[in-house]
Amino acid sequence: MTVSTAQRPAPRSLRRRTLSRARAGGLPYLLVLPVVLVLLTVAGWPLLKIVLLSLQRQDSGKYALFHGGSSSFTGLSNYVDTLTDATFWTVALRTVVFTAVNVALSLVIGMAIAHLLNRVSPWARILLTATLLFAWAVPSTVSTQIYYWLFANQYGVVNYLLDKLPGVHMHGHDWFADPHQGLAVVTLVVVWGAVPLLAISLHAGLTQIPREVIEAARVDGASAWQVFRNVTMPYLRPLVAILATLSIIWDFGVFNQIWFMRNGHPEPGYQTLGIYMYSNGIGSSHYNVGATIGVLMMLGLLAVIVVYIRQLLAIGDAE
Amino acid sequence: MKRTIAGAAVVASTVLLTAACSSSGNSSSGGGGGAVPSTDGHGKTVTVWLQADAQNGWPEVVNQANQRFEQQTGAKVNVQWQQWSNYTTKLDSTFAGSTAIPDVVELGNTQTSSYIAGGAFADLTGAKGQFENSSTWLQGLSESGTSVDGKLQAIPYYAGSRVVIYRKDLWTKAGVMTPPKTLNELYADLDKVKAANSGDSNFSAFYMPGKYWYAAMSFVYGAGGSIATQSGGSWTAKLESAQSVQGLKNWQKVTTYSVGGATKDEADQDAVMAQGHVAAILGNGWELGAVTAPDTGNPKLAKVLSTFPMPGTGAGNYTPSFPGGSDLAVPQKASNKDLGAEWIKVFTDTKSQTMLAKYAIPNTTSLLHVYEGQSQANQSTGEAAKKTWFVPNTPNWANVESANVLQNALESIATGKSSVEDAAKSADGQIEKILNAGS
Repeated sequence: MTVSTAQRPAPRSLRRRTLSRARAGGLPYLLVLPVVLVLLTVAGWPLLKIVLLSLQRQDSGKYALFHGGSSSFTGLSNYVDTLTDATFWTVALRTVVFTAVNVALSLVIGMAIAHLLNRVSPWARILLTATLLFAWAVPSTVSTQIYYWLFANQYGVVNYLLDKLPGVHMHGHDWFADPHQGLAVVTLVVVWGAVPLLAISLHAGLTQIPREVIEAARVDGASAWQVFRNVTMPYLRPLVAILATLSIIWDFGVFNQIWFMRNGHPEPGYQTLGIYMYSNGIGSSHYNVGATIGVLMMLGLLAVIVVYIRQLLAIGDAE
Repeated sequence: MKRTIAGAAVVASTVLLTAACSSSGNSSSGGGGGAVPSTDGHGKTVTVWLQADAQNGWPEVVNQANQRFEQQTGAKVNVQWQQWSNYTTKLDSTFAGSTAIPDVVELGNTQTSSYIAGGAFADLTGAKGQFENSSTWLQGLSESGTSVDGKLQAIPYYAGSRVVIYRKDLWTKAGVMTPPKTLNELYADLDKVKAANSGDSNFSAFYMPGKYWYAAMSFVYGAGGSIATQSGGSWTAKLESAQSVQGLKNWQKVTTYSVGGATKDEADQDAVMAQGHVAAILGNGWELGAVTAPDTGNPKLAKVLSTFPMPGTGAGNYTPSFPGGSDLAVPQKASNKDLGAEWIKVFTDTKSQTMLAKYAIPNTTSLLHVYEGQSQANQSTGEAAKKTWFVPNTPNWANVESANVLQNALESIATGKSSVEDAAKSADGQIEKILNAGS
């Protein structure tokens, strides 16, 4: 699909674009102007300031902050400092793994529930959709607190139930002593919060696939997996690409779930880039360092999703 | 979507700060300006930032001070209630700007030093004599309000001190009739309490959360150790010293009587105690009320709770307590600095502090008797307030706190992940790096 797009003859698309521009005149630009202005004010300007901040040195801490002291430009020294810090790389790696696990789990479970929604009777579908929407409506601060209680070491219901199993001794087990276990609990909250949107969107996508195509494949003797792999997935690909990109953006920047799960004091083993940026930048009033980490986060994320964006554009063009 | 909100909040706060940083160019007055209480306030409004502790705990003290202030000056008072969480970020962005600066702010006594060094507050040294009881202010509080070169920039407001809050019924049942006088007696008593309740797997003879650094450092100072000392302009972290390690081991010994708190801080210890499986905690005097509160605690415990100051290495030699507390300051960029100073003067005078002494330790030793006369618990906390320790007085200290250095080290001791010596060594390295960073 991608290959054919790339080699698609240029003249046709050129002609189409020239035509539509000629027909509409300046109106589209006028219509898009307010949005552009708003984006420039609320996103562009702060972005520029953050980049500038990351290139400056914050002289004498709070004194300079309060008295407009000179914030001299120091080139890339903040970046060099951050990138040569071993902790930063540990945290970055942890964030990448955490994101990968969370995105994969959310998409797989979301896809499974979408297929389930597709199969069940209408009343069950309505019930399930409503439940999913309720789960989605719970703010992450609340769901995190609830999961924290569920996994509490002394009176948590998870330990209580696991302890009931024969041969299992989980009474008093502290899920948060080991950051891996703790982050697994965080993953549970994140996936729990992410699945509803994914399931409902993918279900919507599934309903758009013509039944005849699937039936034809079945008649030809395709197994359920083959149907999914060769018929369903190609139809869903644009949607999955968008959902995966959004999931990566969300999970890469997960903050609330970790922050509240550790009561505002995340141990070193719980630091993902978002947390790291907050504690090293805002928490310790080192706003230049915070801005630097923020810009690096953004660049890292861009590098990942640029692949997806290109694919999205390619898919869009092909249609 | 909701997850983008979290991200947006972080970005937005960064953005606000970023934006604020740029707008502070012209209003710099050098940080040297002073303020003198003034009663000339007709037609003006004084904005006061107070923490919600006062709103919930002693609103009538605030109200009477406002009334007297308004009568004296003709100015109006606008009290804006604040929350402790992320408070320093709010202060940073406010002081970096030049508008909407409050005329009075409350600060925790561990937060003041970095703002004093940052020139955020008006110098009140010249007016010190006008503040009542200024010669008998609690030492821990007045130290925290004074700059390194001895200038008074924040006025003591109130303090709290920590004592052992214990279940007299459980201790008596275990055969312990009188509070312990030394740490060794405490351990022996806890052994008895623990043995008497060995059937309860959730039972803590002494609940000591693993991140409770105020408690752990009290043991460090009690054993003659310290967090860090300064000489010749540079700081040396001292947790590795023999005395500090001994103190940390004393604290570790107490954590062995604690079940289920190794990865927690002290924030919910009152609720934990209210569950009924805890025989003692180390807490502020007012936490008695939290343990027995009808909505979040257990009122039935009111009759069986009692207190004593945390014993130390020898009889009468208490483990020093950390004087939690607050100061009040006038921001350098405030528009009504002299009126702000006047409001503080009224709010911290003998009349206000005598009322406040019903709820918290007043800012002066001369009124401690009012506080101690309120209850048995206040006697213990008042006693504990006489022997205190304080964090290293440097603007960089706040960064040690926000980096969770001590909490992480203590948690690794409490969970058994590292030895006391290793944890102390690693914490020392981080503390020295932060304290000696260019400020």
